[in-house]
Amino acid sequence: MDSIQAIIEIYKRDLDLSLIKENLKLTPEERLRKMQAFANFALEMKKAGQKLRDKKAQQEQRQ
Amino acid sequence: MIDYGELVLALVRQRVKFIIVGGVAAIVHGSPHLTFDLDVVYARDHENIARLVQAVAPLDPYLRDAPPELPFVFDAATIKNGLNFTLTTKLGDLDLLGEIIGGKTYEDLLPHSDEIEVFGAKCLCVGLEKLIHLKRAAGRPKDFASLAELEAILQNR
Repeated sequence: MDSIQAIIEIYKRDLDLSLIKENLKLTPEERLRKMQAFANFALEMKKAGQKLRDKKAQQEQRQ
Repeated sequence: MIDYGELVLALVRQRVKFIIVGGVAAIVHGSPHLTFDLDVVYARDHENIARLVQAVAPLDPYLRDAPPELPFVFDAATIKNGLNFTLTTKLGDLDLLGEIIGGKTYEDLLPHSDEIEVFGAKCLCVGLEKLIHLKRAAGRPKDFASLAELEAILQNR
């Protein structure tokens, strides 16, 4: 085993295999659709976070 | 935003010869890891470059992380004179790779690719073993976690 493979084996210890096993039950299209929904959700959360930071910055400016 | 389906379909509709690699390929093989861009290796022949232009030009492509208002034109001349392009488009980020570390060209990757059916269309996705090989070849520390995941998928599928 080379040193890079040894590092990869360390990363494997922290894997959530249940997530992988759940995904392996899906078809490739179902996996992509699931990720699409999650990507949309993640981007909405990112926008919400940005709005929150902007609002806080405005409040701090007023003070 | 990223619309994986529409980006793939935009390429398929114009019969572009391409192979999905990178994070979306990992998703296809079962990775639960989210990615926000579509990486494809495209064939560099004259006809395919023309099809690529027809498919991607209407998506308002622009060089990712470049200053605005540069005179970038996504046309056959630009593609022929370049090789790899990291683009933003109105459907999401798209990386067009003429060559990839460890996998070389579209033709080199072809025997290591699987045909998949997604969103009502057929396209090619790099096989899991080759994807692992490509990520190992890239040698980026950020890929270690992904490699662990892909090897676990290989062992569990």
